[in-house]
Amino acid sequence: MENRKFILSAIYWHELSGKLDTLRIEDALNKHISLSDYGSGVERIHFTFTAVRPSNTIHENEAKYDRKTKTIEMALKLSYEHVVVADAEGVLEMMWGLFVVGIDLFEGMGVVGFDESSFKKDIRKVVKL
Amino acid sequence: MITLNYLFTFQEKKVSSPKDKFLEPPPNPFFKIFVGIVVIIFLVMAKKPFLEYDKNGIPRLASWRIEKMEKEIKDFDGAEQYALRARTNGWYPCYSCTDTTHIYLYIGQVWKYGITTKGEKGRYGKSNQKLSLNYEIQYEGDLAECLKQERLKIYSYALLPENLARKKPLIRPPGNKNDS
Repeated sequence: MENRKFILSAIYWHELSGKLDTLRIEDALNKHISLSDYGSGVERIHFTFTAVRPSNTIHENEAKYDRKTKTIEMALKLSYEHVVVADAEGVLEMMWGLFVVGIDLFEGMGVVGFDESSFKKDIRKVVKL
Repeated sequence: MITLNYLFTFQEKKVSSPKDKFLEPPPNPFFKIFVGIVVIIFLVMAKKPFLEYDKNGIPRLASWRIEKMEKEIKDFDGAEQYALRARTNGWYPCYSCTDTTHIYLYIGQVWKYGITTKGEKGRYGKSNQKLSLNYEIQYEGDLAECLKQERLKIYSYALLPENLARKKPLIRPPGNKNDS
């Protein structure tokens, strides 16, 4: 597990237990995407899907790039209300969508030496698999 | 949270001639300036008076102290009790095991119960990902209630089916070093 380049986890309200299948996305990414194909700027991506109640003020969106370890760490929020009503496939689609949205934040985080555009394009192909 | 790394100039490694190979690369001047500013701010804050006096000479807390106190008290109102659950099947550190350092957990099984407040939320981040854990919020409320819930859960863990199914049930979750 420590050698995986994509590590995805979740923070969620207990009533949503079982709805956020991070492993399915993580397995697909690690199988089909090689970060080195897009440059040397990013070697690892840690992504956390957050599905907490609207009243929760502890967990906010976060995004940072560790230039020393070339690791992107990101925690982005899903819409709690939508996750509640969606089925498993619907939530999976939302999670993929959020991951793709996260890629747009790379430039603002100071990521260098990484072709975000090609990365995003290839991620979209994986989503369709 | 955006890191400040983009403030520093990225320096390419210089190709040095053989006679220069023992020379250290020049230090980044911006880093020294940044450290200097941080030290100055720290010294100024350390010396900042914590008491103020009104026109009658009656002491009161300095406004910055009041703000800090109110923020910390407010953080106690918004606490949560959580469970860290195995994200993947595998071996996890076991602090409550008597004869081994690691325990095999299946997806969804509890590794630890804990509480956090807004001021502490950074505690779990990297370690969760490193240990392959998901963070499940089980209770939201004030700090006292969350502490009670945490205590209840830690003690009740011994009776969880996933624990009773083991040859040697644990007294508390693998990731909890003690009962509090």
